[in-house]
Amino acid sequence: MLAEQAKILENRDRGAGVFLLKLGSPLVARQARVGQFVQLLISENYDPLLRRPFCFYNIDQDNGQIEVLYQVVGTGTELLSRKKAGEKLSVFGPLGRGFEIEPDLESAILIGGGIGWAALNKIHHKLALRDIHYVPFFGARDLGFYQAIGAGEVIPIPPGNIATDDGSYGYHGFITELVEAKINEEFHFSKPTIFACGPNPMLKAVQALAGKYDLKAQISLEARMACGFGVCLGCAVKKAHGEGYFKVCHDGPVFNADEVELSKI
Amino acid sequence: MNNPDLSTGLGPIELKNPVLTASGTAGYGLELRPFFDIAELGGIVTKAVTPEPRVGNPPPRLWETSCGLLNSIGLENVGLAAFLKDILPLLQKINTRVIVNVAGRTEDEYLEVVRGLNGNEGIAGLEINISCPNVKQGGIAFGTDPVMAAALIKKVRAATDYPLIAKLPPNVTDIVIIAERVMEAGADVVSLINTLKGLAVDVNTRKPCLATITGGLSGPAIKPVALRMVHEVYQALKIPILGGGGIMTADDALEFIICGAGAVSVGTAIFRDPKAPLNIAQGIKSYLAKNNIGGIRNLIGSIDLS
Repeated sequence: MLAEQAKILENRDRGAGVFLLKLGSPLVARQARVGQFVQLLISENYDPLLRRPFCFYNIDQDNGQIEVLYQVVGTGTELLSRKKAGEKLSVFGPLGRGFEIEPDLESAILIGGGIGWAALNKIHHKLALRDIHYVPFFGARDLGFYQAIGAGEVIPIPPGNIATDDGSYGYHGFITELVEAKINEEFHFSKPTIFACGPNPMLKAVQALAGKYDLKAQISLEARMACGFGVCLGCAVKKAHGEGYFKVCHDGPVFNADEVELSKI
Repeated sequence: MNNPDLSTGLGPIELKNPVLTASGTAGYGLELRPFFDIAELGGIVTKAVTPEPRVGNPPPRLWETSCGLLNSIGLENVGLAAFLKDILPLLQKINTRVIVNVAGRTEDEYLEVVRGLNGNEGIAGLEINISCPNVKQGGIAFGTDPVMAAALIKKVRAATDYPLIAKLPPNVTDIVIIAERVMEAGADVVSLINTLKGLAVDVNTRKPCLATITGGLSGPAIKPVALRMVHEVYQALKIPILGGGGIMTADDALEFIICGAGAVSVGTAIFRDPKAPLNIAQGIKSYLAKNNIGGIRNLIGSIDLS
C-alpha cells in the first residue's frame, strides 16, 4: 500500500464510453494481487476532491505496468478519459482483499457483467491456464458494449456463453440464466467455485445460484468510497450474518457471496 | 531561521507541532502507520468513543460534492471497553499526544465514557463531541443549545481531570456565545468546526443521496466558514482554539493559525493523501523558516486587521 507517481503509457478509447488505461507503476505492480484495486488521483485541484477506485484489469510485474479498464460514468471518469499518454497520475495501492484461488480448485465458473469484467480479466487468464474444468461467462447490455469491454479478447469465452440484454449478440437475457443451464448440464460431479463481478442485480442472482446449488462464490463489489484504506468507514455493506457492516475497501472488494447483504450497499 | 520552533499549546496541552488528525478521519491514528511515523504529528484525535460499540448508519454513507464530501457514518466505533483493551495500549507506545473524542446519546453516556477513560496513562485530553450532525439523539442537540452544551461540559468537567476540548458545531447562529458558555463551564479549549449539515438529492430518483437524508459536509468547500468562525471566536474571547475544516495544504493550516488557532486538525485531506498531515506539518516549518519567524506561537492570532 503506497502512493506512486505513475506515467500514463496509454489511455485508449475502446468505444461505447469504455477506456483502457495503461500505467507505468512498478512499485504498485510489484505488490498487486488479482482482485485488488488502486485509487487514482484524477484532479490536482479539489473537484473532484476524492480519488477514484479501479480494480486491476491487468498486472504486468515484469514490466512494472498496471492496466485499468473503466467506463465513463461521471465527472471523475470523464476527466480521466481526457488524460494523455506521457502525463503523470498519482496511484495509491494496491488496496483491499482480492480473489483467492484455492490450490485444490477443481472446477470454476466465471461470471462477468458489463464493466465488471475489469475485475475479472486477470483471474480469467489465471483460471484458463489451470488444468481444471473452467467455464467463463459474460453478459453486457448490447453488442457494442460487449465489443468495447473486450471480454475474452485474449483468451476467448465460448460464443454460447455470452448474453446481451437486447439480444444483439449471443443469448437474449440474463447471463445467470445461461450459467444455471450450464450447471445443470455439465457440473453433475463437481462443485465449481464461482468468481463474479458485475451490477448488483447480477450479483444477487449469483448469490441465489450459489445458494441453490450449494456452490462457493467470490464476488467483487463496487461502492462509493473516500479513503480506500479503511479509515473513513464510508463504503459500508451490510453483513449477512450478525450486526454491522463490512467496508468494501478494507474487507473486500472481494467477498464470499454468503457474507454480504447486497440490498444494503 | 533554520530551525523554527514548531511547538505549540492548546491551553494545558503541550504539542510538539500544531498538526493533529481530525476525529473520524484517521481511525485511531494507528491506521496511518503504513504511510509515515505518526509520532511526527502534533497529535492524534481518535474517532469517537461511545459507551457501547456502534455499527454506524446504513449505506449510502458518502456523497461527494463540489470540493466537498457529505458523510453520515453514524459514529461507528468499537466502544469504550474495546478501546481501553485493544486500542489505547497501542497508542500509549507512540510518542505523540492522544486526544480521545468522546460521544454519547445522553449526558450519562458521555459521563460513562469519560469515567471509563479516567486514570489511564497516555491520554493528553478529551475532545467532547457535542456536535455530530449524524446521530439522532445527543450530538448536535447538545452543541446547538448553549445551555445544554454548558450543562454537559460542566458535568464532564466535574467527572475528570483531563484537559477538555469542546468540539462545537458550525450549525448555529452565533458561535461565540456557545464558545463562551462552554469555556465558562470548564472547557480548556474549543475545537472549531465540526461538519456543516448538508443535503444532496439524486434528480433521477428524487431520493436523497445519503441513507440518513442529511449528512455532514467537510472538505475545502467549508474552509472559509470554518476560518470565519475561528476568527470570530478568537477576536471575541482570545481562548485556545483547535481549528479545522477543509485544511488541505500548509497554507490552509497557516490561515487558521493566523486567525487564532493554536493548532489545527486535518481530516478530509487524509482521504486524498494519507500523508497529508505530515506534509502540512513540514510545509508549516518551511514557511516559518522562509519568513524568518522564530516559532509557531509568534503566528497565532497574528492576523493584520489594520
